[in-house]
Amino acid sequence: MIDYAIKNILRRRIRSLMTISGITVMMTLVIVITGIVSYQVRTMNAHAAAGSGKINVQPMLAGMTYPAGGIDLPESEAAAVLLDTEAYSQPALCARVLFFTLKEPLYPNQPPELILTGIEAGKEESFTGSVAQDVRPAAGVETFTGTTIEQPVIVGEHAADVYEAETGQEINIGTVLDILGQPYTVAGLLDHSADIVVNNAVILPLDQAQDLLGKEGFVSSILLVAADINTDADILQVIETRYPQLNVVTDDTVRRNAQSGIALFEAMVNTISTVAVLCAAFLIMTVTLITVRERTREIGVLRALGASKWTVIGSVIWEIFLLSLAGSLLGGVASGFILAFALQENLFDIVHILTYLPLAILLTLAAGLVPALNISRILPVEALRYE
Amino acid sequence: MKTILKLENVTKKYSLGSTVVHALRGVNIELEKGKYYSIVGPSGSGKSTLLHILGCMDLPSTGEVWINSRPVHCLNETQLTKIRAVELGFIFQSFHLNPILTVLENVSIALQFLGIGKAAAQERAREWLDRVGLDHRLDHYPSELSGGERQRVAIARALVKKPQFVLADEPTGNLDSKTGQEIISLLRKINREAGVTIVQVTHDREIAEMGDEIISFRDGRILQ
Ligand SMILES: Nc1ncnc2c1ncn2[C@@H]1O[C@H](COP(=O)(O)OP(=O)(O)O)[C@@H](O)[C@H]1O
Ligand SMILES: [Mg+2]
Repeated sequence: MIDYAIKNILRRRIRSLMTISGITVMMTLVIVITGIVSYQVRTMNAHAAAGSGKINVQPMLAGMTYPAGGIDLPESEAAAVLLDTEAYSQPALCARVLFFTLKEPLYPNQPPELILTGIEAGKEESFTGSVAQDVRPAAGVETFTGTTIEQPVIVGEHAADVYEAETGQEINIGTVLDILGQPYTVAGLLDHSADIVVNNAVILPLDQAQDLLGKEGFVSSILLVAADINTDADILQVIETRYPQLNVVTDDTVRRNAQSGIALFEAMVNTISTVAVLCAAFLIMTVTLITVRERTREIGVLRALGASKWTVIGSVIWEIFLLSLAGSLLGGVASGFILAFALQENLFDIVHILTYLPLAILLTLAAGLVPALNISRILPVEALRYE
Repeated sequence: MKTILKLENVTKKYSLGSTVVHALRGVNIELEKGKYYSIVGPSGSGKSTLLHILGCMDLPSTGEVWINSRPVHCLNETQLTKIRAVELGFIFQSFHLNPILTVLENVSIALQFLGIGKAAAQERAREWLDRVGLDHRLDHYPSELSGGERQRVAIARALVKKPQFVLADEPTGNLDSKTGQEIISLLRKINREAGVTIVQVTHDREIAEMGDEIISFRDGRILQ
C-alpha cells in the first residue's frame, strides 16, 4: 500500500505541500535555536577551560565577568595587591591590565569580539600564556620588549580575522591598524589560543593604552598566577580580608557565571523548541484526523472490496510517515544552511542535526498514529450509507 | 441447482436512541448458483440491509447466514473481510470509484487486496476493462468518465477477482434509463458467460424483469 500512500500524497498536492512546509518550518526553528545554544555551551566551556590557573582581581563594581573593562582601579592599589600576594604567586606571571571593549560580542555571555588589552611591557605572558597553554606568536614578537616600533600592537588570532574582514586587507607584521583613531603598527600576531579572550585581544603596552583611553594611572584588573595549587586559597584570603572593594574571578567563577547566564537562555530555547515540536505534532494529528474523516467513504469502499483494517491503516501511516520524513529532511537541510551560512558565525554541526531528525520523524509519526487507528472504527457499510 | 447462499430467520434491528427500527423481520431465502436475482420493494423496506448482510458487511441481529455451507453469522471480522475480498463483488449506486486512482488502478486494486502482484493484477484488470468496453480509457481518472462508463469500471472491479456472486444495490439508480438498460444487459451477459450469481436491488420494474427471478420485499419481509 505504499504506492497508494504515494498517490494520495501526489494527488492531494496542496494538502501535502502545506503539511510538509509546516513541519519543515518547525523543525528548522527547533534545530537552529538549539544549534545556537549548543554552540554557546561549547564555546563557553572552551572559554572557561582556557583560563585555567589565572586569577583575575577586579573592582567589586565590575561584577564577576572576565574580562571587565569600564570600572577603574587605581594603579597604586593594584601595585599594593601585587605586593601583598607576592608570597603566594609567581610574580613574573602577574600583571596589571587595562581592558576596553572595541567590538561587542555577537552573542550574550561571550567575551567581546575585540578587546583592547593594555599590559605592562615584559609581562605579556601573564595574559597570553596560561598554565594550560602558552601561546607563541605565529609571526613577529610576543612581547613589547623585543620591538623598536614606536606604537606597537600584538594581535590575537580572531582579532586579526576581524580586522581583515573589516578593512579587506591582509594583516601582516608591519601593517598599520587604526585603533580608536590612532595608528598602531602590528608587531606580533598570536597563534591560536584555547582562550577566546586571548584570541580576541588587541594588545598594547599599558602606558600607551592608558594614554589612548585617557586613563593615566588606572587599570581594570590584576592577573595573578598562584605559586602552586595550594596557594590559590591564600591569595583569595588576602584579597578578601584586605581588599573588600575587590572581587576575585577565577575560571571556575567564569564557568559558573556563564552557566547561570546561559541557563535562562537555554530554558527559553527549550520552551520554544518544545512548543514548536508540539505544534508539529498537532499539525500531523490534525492532518491525519481530517484525512481519515474526509476519506470515511473511500475507506469504507476499500473495506467493502476486501481491504483489511490494517491494509488501510498501513497506507495512512505510510502517508504520514512520508510527509513527516520529507518535512523533517527539508527542515534538516534548511537549518543546516541557516546555521552554516546565514548567521554570522559558523554554527553548523552535523551531529546536532542528525540527532534531531529521527526524533522529529518518530514524534510526528507517533502523533499521527492515534487518529490513524480511528480507521478501525470505519465499517464497510459506511460506503453504502446515505446513498 | 446448487444453493450457494441461504438465509434463515434473519432479523436486523437498528437502535436510534430510544426507538428501535426493525429493518429485517425474519427473512428466509435460498439463492442458487449462476442465477440473476432482482430484489424489488418500496424505499425503506430493508433491501439494502439485506444486501449488506448477504455481502458480509454487516451481521444479522438474529438468524443464520450460510455462504457455500459456511456459517457467516459465526465468523469474525478478519474472516468476513477475507470472504469479501475473495468471493464477493460489489456494485454501488453511486459507483464509488477511487478519485485518486486511474481506471486501470481502480480495477487492479481489488486484486492487490488478495495479495496479487501489481503487474499481474493490472494484466487481469486490462482484460476485464476490455470486456466492458473501456480499453481506451485505462489511464483516465473517474472524474473524466460519464456515469455509464463509471459503472462499467465498477463492474470490471467487481468481476476481476472472479467472485462467486456479485451484489448490486440500485446499479442503475444514478443513470438514465437507456444507459441503465445497457449496464444491466452487460451484467446479464457476464452472468451467463461467467456463471456468476448476481443479486441486484432495483426500483425499476423493467430492469427487474431482465433477471431470472424477482424477490419482492415489504416491511422487512419477503412477499410470497
Ligand atoms: N445504519 C442504520 N441505522 C439506523 N437505521 C437504519 C440504518 N440503516 C437502515 N436503517 C433503517 O432500516 C430500514 C431499512 O433500510 P434500507 O435497508 O436502507 O431500506 P431500502 O434499501 O429498502 O430503502 C429503514 O427504515 C432505514 O431507515
Ligand atoms: Mg437502499
